[in-house]
Amino acid sequence: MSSIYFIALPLLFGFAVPILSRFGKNSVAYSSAIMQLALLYLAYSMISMPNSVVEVIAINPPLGISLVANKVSVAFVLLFTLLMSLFSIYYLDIRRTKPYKDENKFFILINMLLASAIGLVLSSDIFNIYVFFEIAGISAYILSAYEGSAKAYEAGIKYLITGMIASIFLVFAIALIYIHLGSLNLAVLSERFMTLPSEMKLLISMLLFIGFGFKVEIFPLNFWVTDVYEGSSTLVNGLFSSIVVKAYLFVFFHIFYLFIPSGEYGSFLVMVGAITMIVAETVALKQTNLKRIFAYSSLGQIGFIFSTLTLESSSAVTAAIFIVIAHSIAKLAIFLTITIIEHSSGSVDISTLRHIKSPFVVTIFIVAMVSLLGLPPLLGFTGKFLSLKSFAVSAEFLPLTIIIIASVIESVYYFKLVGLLLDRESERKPLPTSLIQKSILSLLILILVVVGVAPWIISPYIDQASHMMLDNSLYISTLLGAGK
Amino acid sequence: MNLKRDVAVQTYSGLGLSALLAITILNIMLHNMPQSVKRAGEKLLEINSQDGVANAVTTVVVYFRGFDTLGEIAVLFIASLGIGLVLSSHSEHHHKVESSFILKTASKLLFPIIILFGIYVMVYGHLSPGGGFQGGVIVASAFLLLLISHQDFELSHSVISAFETLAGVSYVIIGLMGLWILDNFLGNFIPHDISQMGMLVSGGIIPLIYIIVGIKVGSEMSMIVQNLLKRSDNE
Repeated sequence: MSSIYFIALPLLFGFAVPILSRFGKNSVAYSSAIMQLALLYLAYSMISMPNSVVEVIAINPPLGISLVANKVSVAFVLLFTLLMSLFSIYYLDIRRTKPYKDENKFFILINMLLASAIGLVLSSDIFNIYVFFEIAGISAYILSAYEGSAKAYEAGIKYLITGMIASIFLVFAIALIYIHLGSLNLAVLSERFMTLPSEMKLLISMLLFIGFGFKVEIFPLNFWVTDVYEGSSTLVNGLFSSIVVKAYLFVFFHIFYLFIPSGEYGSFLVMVGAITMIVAETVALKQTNLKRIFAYSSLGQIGFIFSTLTLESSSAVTAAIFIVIAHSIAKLAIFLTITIIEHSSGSVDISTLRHIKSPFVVTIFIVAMVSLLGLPPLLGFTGKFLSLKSFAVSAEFLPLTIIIIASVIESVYYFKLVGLLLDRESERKPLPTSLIQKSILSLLILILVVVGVAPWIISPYIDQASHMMLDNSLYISTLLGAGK
Repeated sequence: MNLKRDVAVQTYSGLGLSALLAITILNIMLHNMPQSVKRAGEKLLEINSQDGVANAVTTVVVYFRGFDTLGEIAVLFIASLGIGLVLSSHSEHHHKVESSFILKTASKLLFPIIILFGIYVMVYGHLSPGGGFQGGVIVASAFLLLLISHQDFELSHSVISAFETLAGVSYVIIGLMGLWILDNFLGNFIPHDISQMGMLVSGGIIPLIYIIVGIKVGSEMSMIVQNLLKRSDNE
C-alpha cells in the first residue's frame, strides 16, 4: 500500500465536504470517522513491513518530493491516526448534545490537521515540510478561534501572530539552505550541511531553531501557548497537545539528527529542554484553571521529551518515543474528560472537581495523571525510567537534577487535583457519561495500563524505530536509491 | 494578571534573540563568505523537456513540485474557509450607495474582457508566462469590480462552492490516477509527446492541473473578496 493515501485521502475528504453534506445531516461526520478508521487500518498494516518504503511523487529524488515510510515515521502515523479516529468517534457522541456551529468546516479542519501532521512526519523535502507546517498552522489558528467567543478570538489571533513569525524564520532558513546547498532534499542536505562554513551553519541552525521553536513550544518561545489553550475549546486542546505538537517535535529532531549528526549544539538544547520543563511546572503550581494547568503540564512534558531527544543515543530516543506515546494518550484522555466536566458544570475551574460524583471519571482522571507523572505500573513510567537512565549513562547530571526537581513540583499540583477529586467533605452531583464516552476513555486508559505492565509488547518495534531514526546513512541510501 | 512583567520578559527575550541573530549575520559579513551558490535550477531545466511543456516554470510548479502546489491549494482553501467562518458570524445589513453611471457601464463593459483574459492566462499557462494562480486572481478581480460597482450584485455561494469542490476533488483524483496507472502520485499519465511542445494540447496532465488550480484560486479569491467587502459594508 502506498503512504500517499495518508495525505491524499484527508485532503480529498476536505475538498469533497460540500458534496458529502448533500447526502444528509450526519453523512459528513460518519464518513470522516470511517475514513480515519480506514487510515488507521492502513497504518496498522504498514507496521509489519520489513523495510523502508519510499513513495516517489512525480519525479525521482533528489529533485522530486518523496515520502519516506520507515519504522519510526509509521509509528508516529499510527499514533496520530489512532488518536484522531478515537477523537472523531468521541465527537460523534458529543455532537448529539453540543455540536459546533457550522460543523462541516470543523470536519474539514480536523482532517487537514491530520493530513498535515502526517505530512510533516513522512515528507523528505524541507520545502514540502514548510508547506505542511503552514497547513497545520492555519487549520490550528482557525480551530482555536472556532467557538467565536472573545477569548477564542484572542487565542486565534495570538496563535496566528506567533505562527507567522515562526514561518518567517523558517522560510528564511530554507532560502539560505537552498542558496548555499543547492537542494531541498533532506538526504542531500544531510550530506552537505556539515560542509558549510561554521558562521553560515550557525545562522541557519539558529533560524531553524527559532522557526520550529515557536511550534515545538520550548522556552522562551512558548509564552503564547497557555493563552491559546485557555481560549480554544477543550476538545481541540486534546488534538493540539496529542497530535500537533508531537508532529512538530518529530520533524524538528528528524532535521536536527540529519543535519548535525555530531551533536554540536546538544549541550545547549538539552538545557533548553530542562529549563522549559522547570519553568512550566513552577508556573503551573499557581494556576486555578484546569485547561491552563494541563497546558503548562504539556509544556513541561514537551521540555522533558525535548531534552531526552537531544542526548542522541538510541536508548534516549526509545525513551522519548515511549514518553510521546504515553503523553499523547494520557493528555487526550484528560482533555476529553475535562470536556465532560465542562459540559455539565459550564466551568473549568479546579473547584469544579470537588463537585463531581462519578467514580468512572475520577478513575480515568487519576490514572491518566499518574501515568503523566511516571509512576509504575503505567506506560508513563517506562518512558520516564528509560529516559532518566539514559541521562545518567550520558553523564548529563545538571539537566537530570533539574528534571527530577521539576517532576517533584509536577507531582505537587497533580496530587492537589487528586485531593480535590477525592475530597470527602464536599457536596457532589452525579456526572452523566454516555456509553461511547465511557468506552473511548476506557480504551485509552487500557492502553496505558496494558502497555505499561507489559512494555515488551511494543518495545522491540520501538527499539528498531529509534535505531532507524539515528541511522543517517540508511536514510540517505534508501531515499536516494529510490526511483522507478 | 502580570501583564507588565509578561511584556517585559517577552521583550527582553525578543531583544536577546535579535541581538544574537544580528551578531551572527555581522559575523558572516565580516568573514566575507565565499559565494558558494549552487544552482539546482539547471538540473530541473535539463529534464524539463521530457514532459513537452514549453514553459519550464510551469513544469516545476505543477509537475516536479506538484505536491507542494496541492498543499498551497489546501492552504488557500482553509484560509478562505477561516475568513468565511470569522466574518459570517456577524449580522448582514448593507447600506446601499448607488454608484455612478459611468462606473456601472464601464464595469459591465470590462467584465467579460477581464474574465476572458483570466481564462486565457489560465489555459496558456504551459506555453507562456502566467498560469492558474495568476489567471485565478485575474478572474477574481473581475468579480471584485462587479461587487464594488453594483451594490446588489452577490456571488451565489452554492455556485462558487460547486466550482471549488469540483476543482479540489479533481486535483486529488488526477494525482491518484497517476498512482493507479503509473504507480506514481501526480504522475503524468496522459500521453505527452515532445513533438507536441508549444501546441495548446501538450504536456499531458500539466495544463489540466493548471486550469484546475485556476478554477480553485478564482473561486476562493472571489469568495474571500466578497466576504471582506460585505464585512466592511457593515461598519
